[in-house]
Amino acid sequence: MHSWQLKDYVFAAFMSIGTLLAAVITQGFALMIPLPGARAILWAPFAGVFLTLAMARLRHVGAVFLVITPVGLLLGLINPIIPIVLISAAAITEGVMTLRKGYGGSFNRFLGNVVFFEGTILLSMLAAVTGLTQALGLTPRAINLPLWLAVPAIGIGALMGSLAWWLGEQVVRQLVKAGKLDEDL
Amino acid sequence: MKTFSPIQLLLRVNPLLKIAFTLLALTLAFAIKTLAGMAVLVGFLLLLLILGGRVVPWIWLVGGGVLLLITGVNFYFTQDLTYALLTASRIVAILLPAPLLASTTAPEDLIRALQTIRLPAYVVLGVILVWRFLPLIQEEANRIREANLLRGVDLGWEPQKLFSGLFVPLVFRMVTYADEVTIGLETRGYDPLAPRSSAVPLGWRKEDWGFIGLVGLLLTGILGWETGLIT
Repeated sequence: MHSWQLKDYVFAAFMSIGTLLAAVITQGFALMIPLPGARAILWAPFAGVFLTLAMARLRHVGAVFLVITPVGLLLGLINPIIPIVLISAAAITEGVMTLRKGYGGSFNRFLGNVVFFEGTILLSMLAAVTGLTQALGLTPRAINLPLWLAVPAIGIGALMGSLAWWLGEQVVRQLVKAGKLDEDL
Repeated sequence: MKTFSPIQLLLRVNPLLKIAFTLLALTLAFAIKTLAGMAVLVGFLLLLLILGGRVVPWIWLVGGGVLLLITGVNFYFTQDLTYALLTASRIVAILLPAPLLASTTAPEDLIRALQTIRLPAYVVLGVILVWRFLPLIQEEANRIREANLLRGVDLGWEPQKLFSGLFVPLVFRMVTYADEVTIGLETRGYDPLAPRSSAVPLGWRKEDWGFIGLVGLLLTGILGWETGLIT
């Protein structure tokens, strides 16, 4: 198990600020889209920039946890479901990335982003649909068909994860060029 | 001389107790089956919100309008007024607890609460840094936006330039901040794993007992209506 240093904690905390800002920026647009999981979908590409950056700098398994846990706790003040969704998605990502031995290398960061945002989008859709059906006491047939919602959600999750990774890698390249990040492309 | 203030009372309740109450209220919102039981829960939450005194009038207006709409739509489709009212009040009961917790908990109290329950050091440090630097980074984002305006780029109207015009320079500033904060913390001998002291330790106060008493009354009321003991 990698032992983290103070500089890693601080860097991760600043990336948490970035992911929180991404949530603030996209919140307004997301409210206009009446779809379960819309917030997570719009949040993904912007938050992914900071998540990719954290993966590139910290490299070891646990990097996603370091960034996402404070974000989850703070967003939990708005909705207690958010930390459950975010921390579960982070746990799945870390589990998968343990097999790849961390986030070193562009492909590993791509995989990490896709798994994390896939998990976030699917779980938030599931939470939104379950919450709505329970709150309204509904059992409509369309909502009872998980495939009806899951297939497009998986597609959107993969697309958003890829976009997040691509944007993140652009910033990683610029930081490497500026000498603020060790070369790991 | 100290005077009684309900706002102060809610602000002084232990944040951990408020977090536990938020989870309890959410569970109750999904579990309650009678309109009277739901009315007791919603009434209690609204009372706390009024006592908290942190809600601006337009939120009441918008919230009330949306709820009337939900009740109306539900009644139109089901022709069952009790069900329509129960659904609308269930939504209120789901939506209210978290903002109530957020509006009556000071950030420093939340951090002390997180320290008390011995969360991992990285979580506490992360939350502290986020609270401390979020406004600063937001200010930084505004400065970058103004710099873009000076160059004739209005990011509000040119979202395609958001990434290169705002995100990239902001990330550079954040990386610089992170390095500077690390140096600052290390030169001051900060150790994230060392136990932290507090000038005002989070303890159990009489306000907490008062809050527990109120929640006890709420639960008794709900249980009474749900089991039919109160009619």
